[in-house]
Amino acid sequence: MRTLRQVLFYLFLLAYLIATPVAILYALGYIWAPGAERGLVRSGLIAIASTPDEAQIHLGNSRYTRRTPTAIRDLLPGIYNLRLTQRNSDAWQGEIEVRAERATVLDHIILLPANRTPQPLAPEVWSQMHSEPGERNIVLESPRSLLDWAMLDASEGRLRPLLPTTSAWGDAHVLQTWFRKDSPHALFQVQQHDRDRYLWFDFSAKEEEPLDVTRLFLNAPDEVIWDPRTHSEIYTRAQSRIHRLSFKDMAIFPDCAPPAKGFALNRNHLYILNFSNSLLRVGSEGATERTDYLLPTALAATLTNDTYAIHLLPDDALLVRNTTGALWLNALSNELAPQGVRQIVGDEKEDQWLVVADHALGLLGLNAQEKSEPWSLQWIHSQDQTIQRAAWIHDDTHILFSSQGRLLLLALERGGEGAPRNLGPVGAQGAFYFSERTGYLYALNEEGRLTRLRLLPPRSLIPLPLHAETRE
Amino acid sequence: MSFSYTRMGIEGREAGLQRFLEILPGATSWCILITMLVLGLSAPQLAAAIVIAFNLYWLLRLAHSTIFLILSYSLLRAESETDWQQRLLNLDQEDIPSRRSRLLHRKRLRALQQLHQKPQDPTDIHHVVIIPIARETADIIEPGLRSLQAQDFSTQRILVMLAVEGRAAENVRRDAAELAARFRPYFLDVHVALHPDGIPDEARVKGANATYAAKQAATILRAHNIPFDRATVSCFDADTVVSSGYFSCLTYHYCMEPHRTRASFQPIPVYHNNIWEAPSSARVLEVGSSFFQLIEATNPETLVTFSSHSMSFQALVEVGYWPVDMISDDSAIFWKSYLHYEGDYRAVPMYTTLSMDVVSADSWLDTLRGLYKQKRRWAWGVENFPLVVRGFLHTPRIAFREKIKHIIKMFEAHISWATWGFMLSAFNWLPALFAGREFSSSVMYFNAPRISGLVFNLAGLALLITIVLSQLLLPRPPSRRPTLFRILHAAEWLLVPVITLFFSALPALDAQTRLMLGRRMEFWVAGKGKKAHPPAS
Repeated sequence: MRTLRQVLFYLFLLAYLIATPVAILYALGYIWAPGAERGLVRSGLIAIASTPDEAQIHLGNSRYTRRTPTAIRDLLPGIYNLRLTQRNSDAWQGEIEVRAERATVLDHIILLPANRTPQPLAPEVWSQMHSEPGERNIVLESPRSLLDWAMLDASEGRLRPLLPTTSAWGDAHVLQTWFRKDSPHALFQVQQHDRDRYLWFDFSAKEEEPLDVTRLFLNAPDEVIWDPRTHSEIYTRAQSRIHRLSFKDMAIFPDCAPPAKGFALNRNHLYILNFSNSLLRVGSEGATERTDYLLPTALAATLTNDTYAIHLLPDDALLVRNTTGALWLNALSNELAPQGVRQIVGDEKEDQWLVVADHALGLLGLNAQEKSEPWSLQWIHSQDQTIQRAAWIHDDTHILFSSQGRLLLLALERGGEGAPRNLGPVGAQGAFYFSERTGYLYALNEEGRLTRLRLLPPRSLIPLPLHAETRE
Repeated sequence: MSFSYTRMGIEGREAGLQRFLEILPGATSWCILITMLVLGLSAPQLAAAIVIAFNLYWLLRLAHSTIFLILSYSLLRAESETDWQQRLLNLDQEDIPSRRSRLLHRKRLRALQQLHQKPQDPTDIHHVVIIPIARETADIIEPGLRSLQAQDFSTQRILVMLAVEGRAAENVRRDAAELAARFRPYFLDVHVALHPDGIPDEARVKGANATYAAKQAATILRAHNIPFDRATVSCFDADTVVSSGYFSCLTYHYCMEPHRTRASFQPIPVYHNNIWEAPSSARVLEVGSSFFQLIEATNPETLVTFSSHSMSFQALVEVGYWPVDMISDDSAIFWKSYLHYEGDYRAVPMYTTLSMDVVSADSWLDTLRGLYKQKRRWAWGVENFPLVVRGFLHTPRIAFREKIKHIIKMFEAHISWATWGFMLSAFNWLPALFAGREFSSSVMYFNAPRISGLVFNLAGLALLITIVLSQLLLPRPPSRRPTLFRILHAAEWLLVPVITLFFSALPALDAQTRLMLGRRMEFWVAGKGKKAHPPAS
């Protein structure tokens, strides 16, 4: 037994001394290359995941038997032509750079369905769709009276009238609407019997009458904001005056903050841009403090008497946008965009923001590693046609946008095609909504009818692991 | 040899060295874990490389252990068929049916012949059995006594000492007295030694109780004119049940051992008394403990006594009995003897089993708690490390190589006990879990889990062998559907990763941390027994 133990000890020691460096070198990407490259060379890999998965992989002249998701290892550094094919989907192709010891990760490739003919969902004609309320509701706007407005539950694909058929507001005509991201509420300004009315909707309650809050409105508001977590309190800015309206007590708190040319709400605090170009923070009990550190003097000096939209970002960053769409970030000395910015959309993790301008899309990101200038705006796409709407989709790896009657998809991942892919026509308003859960893309077509297209498969609850690869 | 195997009464540099050596194992374990944590977060590529190196090391160690587990198990099977009583009738006889058993016997005979010795005459060998009792009532002790009564060895040459703690409850003392009276006629004697509480320099530990009983046993042996070198002493846990051939087997090994008064005799402890009543986690853990001892038995050069075992009574007296201030008396007595005889002491493996209770309480949670505390108590064996190292500094006659071998093995065993569970679970995934953008786009990020996966798949083979052996080792389930029971037991082994972490690595780290911080452990008596009975030792 002792001899056996000694023999095994030396055998295992030898095995360890050989296997460990080999395994570590392999893990680092070193491989033994045959042929002209003969010797120990550094390799890289490509990790590929597609939606839908099970796509056939072609890399250069090689076709792989395993399908996506997978990792293709032992690739010598260089540029590779990667092509993914799948029945019933358009092929995806890209030039991929493989670097030594690095992994090129393409884990959100979308394979578009070959047949992209949208299915009409209902015969009615709508003039616009509002996709902000809650996480899964779409409000469909009718050119006729409020009775013809509808609500679509995008998760279940069910359409229902916005109001009960017996509603007293059925004959009202909508003048203006205010929605807020992730809030199940909306404020409607309607006209009924030649009188302006204000209605507070709760979309989480099914087929209920809206709350008439008209008497709380002294003037028509220019801007309305509320905290998505609250259900009965909003702030309005009307002719520069800020009022707080409580629907629970049906009370108005006029001039709850100094007059402003722009304001924002964050964690029970109002941020007020006053007419002296100072930024004030107003607590829920009315306490006001100056937060000049948020608004550098140089930036304050550039602001005019225009009205401004304020967008609060993490780490005391602040975006200011005027009515012409000029955009400033307090953390940067120069303006981000001279004009044309219409929309700022944060991603799910709130670590990058999509800047939607008239003819361009930009990504505003925070890189905490970069101490001197952590914020940067990168324009990722520009075009001659006007961009109407844009939204993050597919785990914030793609941007879906509408432009001049077309829906387009832009991949952000490395190696993706530079140009956006055309998904098909859309109505003049460019209205669309994508449900991550069901994979359906809802849109209003040229005739104003609601259509649905299965863009991606429904979400599976458990993500599948990467397959091992074999080459054919 | 002037070294006293205790941490008490030392001063100056010796006390400083003792404290340093107490801190060393815990500090090393924590250093490894913290370093891996820091590397996992700050240098994930390096952490992943270390994990690969560790995984391969672990795999080879596992393969090595599995080979010796199979060999050891085959020897256990071979020896389990031996009629030890028959063997004792003629120790020189080489005509033994079992080939493996015959080989082992011939090897022992040859060792004696090389020293121009003959086997000791087994007819005048006596055995002292000490059963320390603190909280154990008759229902726990009686099965063990019955197993002693059922020995094929002459029970009139067995002296049973019921070592009862003076602080034990009245019913415990009464039970011991009643059992002694009932079983006395079958043995040389059954003596109740009531260990007074609060003897100076004694901690409330099992070793103190056993020592007190052993001293009384010495008096009884002298009264019967039994030479100490013709007697063994076995210190058994109260729940220990031995097979009918145990003392014949022990007598055989004692007689065949050339240096019998310089040896301990280590059987394979199994936990079969209530194995099918215990929760699955406890069952898997205890079968694992048995396997560990089986593997250890294949390496007598570094074997250390564990749990219930036997030794020469003369050696026990010469070394000054068990330490009276240490919890881990089972291993401490080995090291005390090893140092006393300046290396001329060894543990002889005996391929026979003795069975004890699995920790089992009324509720599942209490059982897990008890299991954790038991493993922590086992891991408290690390208290021997500073004493052994200090002892080596006082024993110039022990070869330097031997000292280094024992120190490295002991140190490595405790460190691996506390850290491997974490390395194999948390730290395998840590670099990937907290990977930043830089690491997650490296080849290492994708290849390291692949290599680990391969290692774990290969380790699955060892697990499969372990499952098969556990099925062979365990007794028949007390069920009308034994096959179903066995299938369920096989599935229980899937719990190994969780059990390794929470009932092996964590209690070991706990014990080392306590020793490091000087928070010494009170003796805790494991709650053992069948579920129907109230918790007892």
